[in-house]
Amino acid sequence: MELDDLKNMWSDYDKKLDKSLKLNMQLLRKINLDKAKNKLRKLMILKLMEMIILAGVIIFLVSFIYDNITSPQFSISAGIFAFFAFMGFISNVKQVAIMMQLQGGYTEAIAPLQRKIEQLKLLIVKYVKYALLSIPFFPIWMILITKILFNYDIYSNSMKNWWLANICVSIALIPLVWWIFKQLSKNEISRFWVKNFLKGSGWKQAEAARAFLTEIDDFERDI
Amino acid sequence: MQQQAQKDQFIYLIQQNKKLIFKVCNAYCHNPEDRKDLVQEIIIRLWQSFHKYDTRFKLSTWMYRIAINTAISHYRASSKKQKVTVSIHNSLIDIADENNAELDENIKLLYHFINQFNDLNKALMILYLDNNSYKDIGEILGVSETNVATKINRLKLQLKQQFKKL
Repeated sequence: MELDDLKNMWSDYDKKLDKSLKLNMQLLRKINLDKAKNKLRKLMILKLMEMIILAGVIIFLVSFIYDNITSPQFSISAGIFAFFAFMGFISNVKQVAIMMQLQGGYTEAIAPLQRKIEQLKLLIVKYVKYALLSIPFFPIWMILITKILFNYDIYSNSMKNWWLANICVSIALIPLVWWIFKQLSKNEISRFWVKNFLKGSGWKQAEAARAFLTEIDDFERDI
Repeated sequence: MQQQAQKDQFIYLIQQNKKLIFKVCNAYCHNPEDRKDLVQEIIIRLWQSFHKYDTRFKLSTWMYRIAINTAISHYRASSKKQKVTVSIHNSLIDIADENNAELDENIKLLYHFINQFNDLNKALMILYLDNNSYKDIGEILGVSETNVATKINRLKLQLKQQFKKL
Protein backbone atom coordinates (compact mmCIF):
# COMPACT_ATOMS: atom_id res chain seq x y z
CA MET A 1 0.00 0.00 0.00
CA GLU A 2 1.32 3.44 -0.99
CA LEU A 3 1.15 6.53 1.17
CA ASP A 4 -1.30 8.23 -1.18
CA ASP A 5 -3.57 5.22 -0.73
CA LEU A 6 -3.57 5.85 3.00
CA LYS A 7 -4.89 9.36 2.54
CA ASN A 8 -7.42 8.22 -0.04
CA MET A 9 -8.56 5.49 2.29
CA TRP A 10 -8.96 8.00 5.11
CA SER A 11 -10.83 10.35 2.82
CA ASP A 12 -13.23 7.53 1.80
CA TYR A 13 -13.70 6.75 5.47
CA ASP A 14 -14.47 10.41 6.09
CA LYS A 15 -17.13 10.37 3.38
CA LYS A 16 -18.60 7.23 4.81
CA LEU A 17 -18.78 8.80 8.24
CA ASP A 18 -20.56 11.78 6.70
CA LYS A 19 -23.40 9.50 5.70
CA SER A 20 -23.50 7.04 8.53
CA LEU A 21 -22.48 8.88 11.70
CA LYS A 22 -25.46 9.66 13.88
CA LEU A 23 -25.55 12.08 16.75
CA ASN A 24 -27.96 10.99 19.44
CA MET A 25 -29.74 14.32 19.85
CA GLN A 26 -32.14 13.03 22.47
CA LEU A 27 -29.30 11.85 24.67
CA LEU A 28 -27.26 15.00 24.06
CA ARG A 29 -30.12 17.19 25.22
CA LYS A 30 -30.65 14.93 28.22
CA ILE A 31 -27.08 15.25 29.50
CA ASN A 32 -26.76 18.09 31.93
CA LEU A 33 -23.78 19.82 30.39
CA ASP A 34 -23.58 22.38 33.19
CA LYS A 35 -23.32 19.80 35.93
CA ALA A 36 -19.86 18.58 34.99
CA LYS A 37 -17.52 18.54 37.94
CA ASN A 38 -14.43 20.68 37.82
CA LYS A 39 -11.94 18.52 39.67
CA LEU A 40 -9.14 20.99 39.09
CA ARG A 41 -11.06 23.85 40.72
CA LYS A 42 -11.77 21.68 43.76
CA LEU A 43 -8.10 20.75 44.04
CA MET A 44 -7.13 24.40 43.69
CA ILE A 45 -9.49 25.43 46.50
CA LEU A 46 -8.01 22.68 48.67
CA LYS A 47 -4.48 23.81 47.90
CA LEU A 48 -5.35 27.47 48.57
CA MET A 49 -6.80 26.45 51.94
CA GLU A 50 -3.64 24.48 52.68
CA MET A 51 -1.57 27.54 51.76
CA ILE A 52 -3.56 29.76 54.13
CA ILE A 53 -3.20 27.22 56.96
CA LEU A 54 0.54 26.77 56.31
CA ALA A 55 1.06 30.55 56.16
CA GLY A 56 -0.73 30.85 59.52
CA VAL A 57 1.43 28.04 60.96
CA ILE A 58 4.64 29.72 59.71
CA ILE A 59 3.66 33.11 61.18
CA PHE A 60 2.72 31.48 64.48
CA LEU A 61 5.99 29.49 64.62
CA VAL A 62 8.14 32.52 63.86
CA SER A 63 6.52 34.43 66.72
CA PHE A 64 6.86 31.30 68.90
CA ILE A 65 10.59 31.13 68.14
CA TYR A 66 10.90 34.84 69.01
CA ASP A 67 9.13 34.30 72.34
CA ASN A 68 11.16 31.18 73.21
CA ILE A 69 14.53 32.14 71.80
CA THR A 70 16.21 31.44 75.15
CA SER A 71 14.83 27.87 75.31
CA PRO A 72 16.59 25.98 72.51
CA GLN A 73 14.41 22.86 72.95
CA PHE A 74 11.42 24.95 71.82
CA SER A 75 13.04 27.33 69.36
CA ILE A 76 14.93 24.57 67.49
CA SER A 77 11.82 22.34 67.39
CA ALA A 78 9.75 25.22 66.08
CA GLY A 79 12.48 26.08 63.56
CA ILE A 80 12.45 22.52 62.13
CA PHE A 81 8.66 22.50 62.01
CA ALA A 82 8.65 25.93 60.35
CA PHE A 83 11.11 24.65 57.74
CA PHE A 84 8.78 21.79 56.75
CA ALA A 85 5.79 24.13 56.73
CA PHE A 86 7.71 26.56 54.52
CA MET A 87 8.67 23.80 52.05
CA GLY A 88 5.02 22.71 51.95
CA PHE A 89 3.95 26.31 51.35
CA ILE A 90 6.41 26.73 48.45
CA SER A 91 5.25 23.45 46.90
CA ASN A 92 1.63 24.61 47.19
CA VAL A 93 2.48 27.93 45.53
CA LYS A 94 4.03 26.04 42.60
CA GLN A 95 1.03 23.69 42.35
CA VAL A 96 -1.48 26.56 42.42
CA ALA A 97 0.55 28.46 39.80
CA ILE A 98 0.31 25.48 37.40
CA MET A 99 -3.38 24.99 38.20
CA MET A 100 -4.05 28.64 37.39
CA GLN A 101 -2.39 28.14 34.01
CA LEU A 102 -4.62 25.11 33.47
CA GLN A 103 -7.79 27.04 34.29
CA GLY A 104 -8.34 27.83 30.61
CA GLY A 105 -9.47 24.23 30.19
CA TYR A 106 -8.10 22.10 27.41
CA THR A 107 -7.95 24.88 24.83
CA GLU A 108 -4.17 25.26 24.96
CA ALA A 109 -1.82 23.56 22.47
CA ILE A 110 -1.43 19.86 23.25
CA ALA A 111 2.29 19.40 24.04
CA PRO A 112 2.65 22.41 26.43
CA LEU A 113 -0.65 21.64 28.18
CA GLN A 114 0.16 17.98 28.69
CA ARG A 115 3.59 19.02 30.02
CA LYS A 116 1.91 21.22 32.66
CA ILE A 117 -0.44 18.40 33.70
CA GLU A 118 2.46 15.98 34.15
CA GLN A 119 4.51 18.60 36.04
CA LEU A 120 1.59 19.10 38.40
CA LYS A 121 1.37 15.34 39.04
CA LEU A 122 5.09 15.23 39.83
CA LEU A 123 4.81 18.17 42.23
CA ILE A 124 1.98 16.46 44.11
CA VAL A 125 4.08 13.30 44.51
CA LYS A 126 7.07 15.42 45.62
CA TYR A 127 4.85 17.04 48.24
CA VAL A 128 4.08 13.60 49.70
CA LYS A 129 7.77 12.72 49.54
CA TYR A 130 8.85 15.73 51.60
CA ALA A 131 6.06 15.14 54.10
CA LEU A 132 7.53 11.64 54.62
CA LEU A 133 10.86 13.16 55.60
CA SER A 134 9.28 14.76 58.65
CA ILE A 135 8.34 11.38 60.23
CA PRO A 136 11.65 10.71 62.07
CA PHE A 137 11.32 14.13 63.73
CA PHE A 138 8.33 12.99 65.78
CA PRO A 139 10.02 13.55 69.23
CA ILE A 140 10.45 17.19 68.20
CA TRP A 141 6.74 17.43 67.34
CA MET A 142 5.94 16.12 70.80
CA ILE A 143 8.05 18.82 72.47
CA LEU A 144 6.40 21.50 70.40
CA ILE A 145 2.80 20.29 70.61
CA THR A 146 2.83 19.76 74.38
CA LYS A 147 4.31 23.23 74.86
CA ILE A 148 1.82 24.94 72.53
CA LEU A 149 -1.29 23.05 73.65
CA PHE A 150 -0.61 22.44 77.34
CA ASN A 151 2.26 24.83 78.08
CA TYR A 152 4.15 21.80 79.35
CA ASP A 153 7.88 21.22 78.94
CA ILE A 154 7.98 17.52 78.09
CA TYR A 155 11.67 17.77 77.24
CA SER A 156 12.77 18.80 80.75
CA ASN A 157 10.14 16.84 82.69
CA SER A 158 10.37 13.43 81.04
CA MET A 159 12.65 10.65 82.13
CA LYS A 160 15.93 10.22 80.37
CA ASN A 161 15.12 6.61 79.39
CA TRP A 162 11.82 7.63 77.84
CA TRP A 163 13.63 10.15 75.65
CA LEU A 164 16.32 7.66 74.77
CA ALA A 165 13.67 5.18 73.60
CA ASN A 166 11.99 7.82 71.46
CA ILE A 167 15.25 8.93 69.93
CA CYS A 168 16.16 5.31 69.15
CA VAL A 169 12.83 4.80 67.36
CA SER A 170 13.39 8.06 65.53
CA ILE A 171 16.88 7.03 64.40
CA ALA A 172 15.61 3.59 63.38
CA LEU A 173 12.99 5.27 61.20
CA ILE A 174 15.55 7.33 59.28
CA PRO A 175 16.85 4.54 57.00
CA LEU A 176 13.30 3.34 56.27
CA VAL A 177 12.05 6.84 55.41
CA TRP A 178 15.19 7.58 53.40
CA TRP A 179 14.78 4.31 51.50
CA ILE A 180 11.14 5.13 50.63
CA PHE A 181 12.22 8.66 49.65
CA LYS A 182 14.93 7.32 47.33
CA GLN A 183 12.60 4.72 45.82
CA LEU A 184 10.03 7.41 45.07
CA SER A 185 12.71 9.39 43.23
CA LYS A 186 13.69 6.54 40.93
CA ASN A 187 12.54 6.31 37.33
CA GLU A 188 12.68 2.53 37.30
CA ILE A 189 12.05 0.08 40.11
CA SER A 190 13.00 -3.43 39.15
CA ARG A 191 11.95 -5.40 42.23
CA PHE A 192 8.33 -6.52 42.07
CA TRP A 193 7.64 -6.38 45.82
CA VAL A 194 9.07 -2.85 46.03
CA LYS A 195 6.78 -1.81 43.19
CA ASN A 196 3.77 -3.26 44.96
CA PHE A 197 4.74 -1.63 48.23
CA LEU A 198 5.03 1.81 46.63
CA LYS A 199 1.99 1.56 44.37
CA GLY A 200 -0.27 3.62 46.63
CA SER A 201 2.29 6.25 47.49
CA GLY A 202 2.22 8.03 44.15
CA TRP A 203 5.35 6.45 42.69
CA LYS A 204 3.38 4.87 39.85
CA GLN A 205 1.85 8.22 38.85
CA ALA A 206 5.24 9.90 39.14
CA GLU A 207 6.87 7.22 37.00
CA ALA A 208 4.18 7.58 34.31
CA ALA A 209 4.44 11.38 34.49
CA ARG A 210 8.22 11.31 34.08
CA ALA A 211 7.98 8.90 31.14
CA PHE A 212 5.40 11.08 29.43
CA LEU A 213 7.47 14.23 30.05
CA THR A 214 10.38 12.52 28.27
CA GLU A 215 8.05 11.69 25.38
CA ILE A 216 6.94 15.34 25.23
CA ASP A 217 10.58 16.51 25.28
CA ASP A 218 11.40 14.19 22.39
CA PHE A 219 8.32 15.30 20.53
CA GLU A 220 9.08 19.01 20.92
CA ARG A 221 12.69 18.59 19.88
CA ASP A 222 13.34 19.58 16.26
CA ILE A 223 15.14 16.43 15.14
CA MET B 1 -33.27 32.36 26.93
CA GLN B 2 -29.77 33.38 25.88
CA GLN B 3 -28.41 30.24 27.55
CA GLN B 4 -30.80 28.08 25.50
CA ALA B 5 -29.76 29.83 22.29
CA GLN B 6 -26.11 29.21 23.17
CA LYS B 7 -26.89 25.55 23.86
CA ASP B 8 -28.66 25.19 20.51
CA GLN B 9 -25.71 26.81 18.79
CA PHE B 10 -23.41 24.38 20.60
CA ILE B 11 -25.47 21.33 19.63
CA TYR B 12 -25.35 22.52 16.01
CA LEU B 13 -21.57 22.78 16.29
CA ILE B 14 -21.32 19.23 17.62
CA GLN B 15 -23.61 18.02 14.86
CA GLN B 16 -21.34 19.64 12.26
CA ASN B 17 -18.13 18.28 13.79
CA LYS B 18 -19.16 14.87 15.10
CA LYS B 19 -16.70 13.18 12.73
CA LEU B 20 -13.76 14.92 14.39
CA ILE B 21 -14.83 13.73 17.85
CA PHE B 22 -15.55 10.23 16.60
CA LYS B 23 -12.15 9.84 14.93
CA VAL B 24 -10.22 11.12 17.96
CA CYS B 25 -12.14 8.80 20.30
CA ASN B 26 -11.57 5.83 18.01
CA ALA B 27 -7.83 6.46 17.95
CA TYR B 28 -7.42 6.77 21.71
CA CYS B 29 -9.99 4.34 23.10
CA HIS B 30 -10.22 0.69 22.17
CA ASN B 31 -12.84 -0.29 24.67
CA PRO B 32 -16.37 0.58 23.38
CA GLU B 33 -17.61 1.43 26.89
CA ASP B 34 -14.66 3.73 27.52
CA ARG B 35 -15.24 5.29 24.12
CA LYS B 36 -18.80 6.26 25.05
CA ASP B 37 -17.51 7.94 28.17
CA LEU B 38 -14.77 9.70 26.24
CA VAL B 39 -17.26 11.08 23.68
CA GLN B 40 -19.35 12.41 26.54
CA GLU B 41 -16.32 13.89 28.30
CA ILE B 42 -15.11 15.65 25.14
CA ILE B 43 -18.56 17.15 24.55
CA ILE B 44 -18.69 18.40 28.14
CA ARG B 45 -15.18 19.90 27.89
CA LEU B 46 -16.17 21.60 24.63
CA TRP B 47 -19.27 23.05 26.29
CA GLN B 48 -17.25 24.28 29.29
CA SER B 49 -14.89 26.15 26.96
CA PHE B 50 -17.53 27.21 24.43
CA HIS B 51 -18.09 30.68 25.90
CA LYS B 52 -14.33 31.25 25.96
CA TYR B 53 -13.83 30.37 22.30
CA ASP B 54 -11.48 32.90 20.74
CA THR B 55 -12.66 33.68 17.20
CA ARG B 56 -9.10 34.58 16.18
CA PHE B 57 -8.42 30.84 16.08
CA LYS B 58 -9.95 28.42 13.65
CA LEU B 59 -12.90 26.52 15.09
CA SER B 60 -11.29 23.22 14.07
CA THR B 61 -8.03 24.15 15.89
CA TRP B 62 -10.02 24.85 19.06
CA MET B 63 -11.99 21.60 18.75
CA TYR B 64 -8.98 19.43 17.98
CA ARG B 65 -7.07 20.86 20.94
CA ILE B 66 -9.87 20.13 23.39
CA ALA B 67 -10.72 16.73 21.92
CA ILE B 68 -7.11 15.49 21.81
CA ASN B 69 -6.14 16.96 25.20
CA THR B 70 -9.21 15.31 26.74
CA ALA B 71 -8.50 12.01 24.98
CA ILE B 72 -4.86 11.93 26.14
CA SER B 73 -5.79 12.80 29.74
CA HIS B 74 -8.71 10.35 29.73
CA TYR B 75 -6.53 7.60 28.27
CA ARG B 76 -3.70 8.26 30.73
CA ALA B 77 -6.06 8.24 33.70
CA SER B 78 -8.05 5.23 32.50
CA SER B 79 -6.97 2.94 35.35
CA LYS B 80 -8.20 5.37 37.99
CA LYS B 81 -10.78 7.09 35.87
CA GLN B 82 -13.67 8.87 37.49
CA LYS B 83 -16.55 9.55 35.22
CA VAL B 84 -17.45 13.17 34.70
CA THR B 85 -21.13 12.39 34.80
CA VAL B 86 -23.19 9.26 35.04
CA SER B 87 -22.33 6.34 32.79
CA ILE B 88 -24.44 6.18 29.66
CA HIS B 89 -25.89 3.11 28.01
CA ASN B 90 -26.14 4.51 24.52
CA SER B 91 -23.45 6.26 22.60
CA LEU B 92 -23.80 9.93 21.77
CA ILE B 93 -22.14 9.39 18.41
CA ASP B 94 -22.45 6.11 16.58
CA ILE B 95 -22.18 4.55 13.14
CA ALA B 96 -25.57 3.67 11.75
CA ASP B 97 -24.49 2.11 8.48
CA GLU B 98 -22.20 -0.91 8.66
CA ASN B 99 -21.73 -1.43 4.92
CA ASN B 100 -18.53 -1.47 2.92
CA ALA B 101 -16.64 -4.22 4.71
CA GLU B 102 -13.43 -3.79 2.74
CA LEU B 103 -13.08 -0.15 3.71
CA ASP B 104 -13.77 -1.03 7.32
CA GLU B 105 -11.05 -3.67 7.31
CA ASN B 106 -8.47 -1.26 5.93
CA ILE B 107 -9.48 1.45 8.36
CA LYS B 108 -9.29 -1.00 11.24
CA LEU B 109 -5.80 -1.90 10.10
CA LEU B 110 -4.83 1.75 9.85
CA TYR B 111 -6.19 2.43 13.34
CA HIS B 112 -4.28 -0.61 14.54
CA PHE B 113 -1.01 0.83 13.23
CA ILE B 114 -1.81 4.33 14.52
CA ASN B 115 -2.45 2.80 17.93
CA GLN B 116 1.13 1.65 18.05
CA PHE B 117 2.33 5.27 18.04
CA ASN B 118 2.68 7.18 21.30
CA ASP B 119 -0.05 9.66 22.33
CA LEU B 120 1.48 12.69 20.62
CA ASN B 121 2.43 10.93 17.39
CA LYS B 122 -1.07 9.46 17.28
CA ALA B 123 -2.49 13.00 17.36
CA LEU B 124 -0.05 14.08 14.68
CA MET B 125 -1.12 11.25 12.36
CA ILE B 126 -4.84 11.89 12.78
CA LEU B 127 -4.35 15.58 12.09
CA TYR B 128 -2.29 14.76 9.00
CA LEU B 129 -4.80 12.25 7.66
CA ASP B 130 -7.59 14.76 8.27
CA ASN B 131 -5.86 17.05 5.76
CA ASN B 132 -4.78 19.76 8.17
CA SER B 133 -1.91 21.96 6.99
CA TYR B 134 1.49 21.66 8.72
CA LYS B 135 0.95 25.16 10.10
CA ASP B 136 -2.40 24.18 11.65
CA ILE B 137 -0.98 20.91 13.01
CA GLY B 138 1.88 22.88 14.60
CA GLU B 139 -0.62 25.28 16.18
CA ILE B 140 -2.76 22.47 17.56
CA LEU B 141 0.17 20.52 18.95
CA GLY B 142 2.33 23.45 20.03
CA VAL B 143 5.37 22.59 17.93
CA SER B 144 7.08 24.20 14.93
CA GLU B 145 6.04 23.61 11.32
CA THR B 146 9.42 22.10 10.43
CA ASN B 147 9.15 19.74 13.37
CA VAL B 148 5.71 18.67 12.12
CA ALA B 149 7.09 18.03 8.62
CA THR B 150 10.02 15.97 9.90
CA LYS B 151 7.88 13.90 12.21
CA ILE B 152 5.16 13.27 9.64
CA ASN B 153 7.72 11.99 7.13
CA ARG B 154 9.08 9.64 9.76
CA LEU B 155 5.64 8.36 10.73
CA LYS B 156 4.59 7.90 7.11
CA LEU B 157 7.70 5.81 6.57
CA GLN B 158 6.87 3.70 9.59
CA LEU B 159 3.32 3.19 8.37
CA LYS B 160 4.53 2.28 4.91
CA GLN B 161 6.82 -0.37 6.35
CA GLN B 162 3.99 -1.74 8.47
CA PHE B 163 1.72 -2.08 5.44
CA LYS B 164 4.53 -3.64 3.41
CA LYS B 165 4.86 -6.42 5.95
CA LEU B 166 1.31 -7.53 5.24
